[in-house]
Amino acid sequence: MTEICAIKEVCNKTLQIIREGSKEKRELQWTDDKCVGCGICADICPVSAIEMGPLGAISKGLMDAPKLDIDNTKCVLCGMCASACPFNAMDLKIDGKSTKEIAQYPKVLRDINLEQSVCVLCKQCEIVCPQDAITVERTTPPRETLVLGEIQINKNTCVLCGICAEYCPADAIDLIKNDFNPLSISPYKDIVVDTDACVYCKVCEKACPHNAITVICYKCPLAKKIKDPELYKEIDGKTTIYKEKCVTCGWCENVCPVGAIKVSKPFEGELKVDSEKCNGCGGCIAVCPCNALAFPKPESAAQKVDKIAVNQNVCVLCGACTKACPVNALTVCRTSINMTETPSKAWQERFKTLLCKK
Amino acid sequence: MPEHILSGIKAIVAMNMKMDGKTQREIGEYLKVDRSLVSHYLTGRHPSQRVLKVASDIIDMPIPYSLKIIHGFSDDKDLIKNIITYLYTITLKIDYEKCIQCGACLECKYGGIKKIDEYNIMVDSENCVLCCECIEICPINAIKIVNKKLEE
Repeated sequence: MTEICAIKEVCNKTLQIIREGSKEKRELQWTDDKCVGCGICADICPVSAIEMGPLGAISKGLMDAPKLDIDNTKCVLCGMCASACPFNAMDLKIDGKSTKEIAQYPKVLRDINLEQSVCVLCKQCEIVCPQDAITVERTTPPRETLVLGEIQINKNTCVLCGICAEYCPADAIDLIKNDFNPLSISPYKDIVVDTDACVYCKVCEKACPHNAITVICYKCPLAKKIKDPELYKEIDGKTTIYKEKCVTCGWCENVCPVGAIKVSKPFEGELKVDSEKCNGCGGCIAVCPCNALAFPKPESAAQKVDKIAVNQNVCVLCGACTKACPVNALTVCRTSINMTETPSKAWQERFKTLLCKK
Repeated sequence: MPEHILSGIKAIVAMNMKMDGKTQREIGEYLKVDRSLVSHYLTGRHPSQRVLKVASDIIDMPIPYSLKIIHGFSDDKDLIKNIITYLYTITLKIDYEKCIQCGACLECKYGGIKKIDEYNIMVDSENCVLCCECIEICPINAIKIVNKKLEE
């Protein structure tokens, strides 16, 4: 038997380890774009073939380097890294078939699901998502279907003083400037009302010292005839979650006011922060795919705050921060892994090493 | 020189077989030698005592070493397998609790390890010539030499 050396191919931002033998061909592929730098692959690798790059510098944009490297002389292409990677950055193919399709290979499970009928299209999830994995499209009925009225400015009595414009809460009144000169001496040449902005509130009518404005509001007398816009009828929309981008951090689930999003995370546990050790480099904040870490800001000048803080609710316990931290101020303590079963004792044991030691 | 020592080892196997009641013909066929040579082996005319001593020392070495040396004597893996199976009641065993399914051992050039399905592997005793190279290749030492009798 001759040991077949696996070859390494580095192309753009992907890395491939290939071993083509007489019985089977194995290809391990790693994609930098999908990798968050959590280092779970390096931790689980039974032959220590994976080494993490300088994650802090890479994620701060100070350095352009791959987040990890696989040593093809050590890698045995067992695929444990591919099964353990929660972010699908690693894939092992045996004779062209991904181990993700082979039942005996365990898979780390995580998911996000949206109940569109419950969603109120508030867009808050779209704003907070650290991976831009959610978009909310929303169409509202034209304003004039809700705001009915008339407004008129009597140009004969109006002196173009602009007092109405100053009071207008909707900024609907504009004075048109005049390029004044000896032949046209007025600073303004006209006054206009933007009926798309005016809500017929009558403040201008009240405010005008010259009684030049007349406003009629139909909203109250016609209230019953104006239909209230309803969600998914007059107000329509759709929330789209891009699962391949989502890291299941749970920001969206936590901000959703109606519980329309359910996130199931890959791990349970806690990220432990030793604020005393922290040197404030910010590597963890830069690398965190979940935006779960922050430097707390003091509310008053003398207030003492922790150097670094984490919101456990939006942490996915991937451990990227622990790999980026140069002073070991962070430790990830996972108590369970949400994964499918594997018959292999050796694999079960390796997966257990991802859990915190008691 | 290697041929001499191989003869010594064959002679020892021949003597063992004789004690087990095998005929000279059976011994000759098993060891791929002439009946006349078998007779030399059994009467002690060939090979020399010195060669027999070295051969016997090799056989008594720790099994992984002796297997490696015996395999070095000939490319006739059938013959070597015959010799080894007579000298030692061993077989290879995969410790499935340790195996990480990396597939490195599948490259055995004798086909001694086969895939049962896309996930499971097993030792194919028919093909295995007990060269034990898979033991060295296995990254996590999941393949072991075990006593065949204890396994059965």
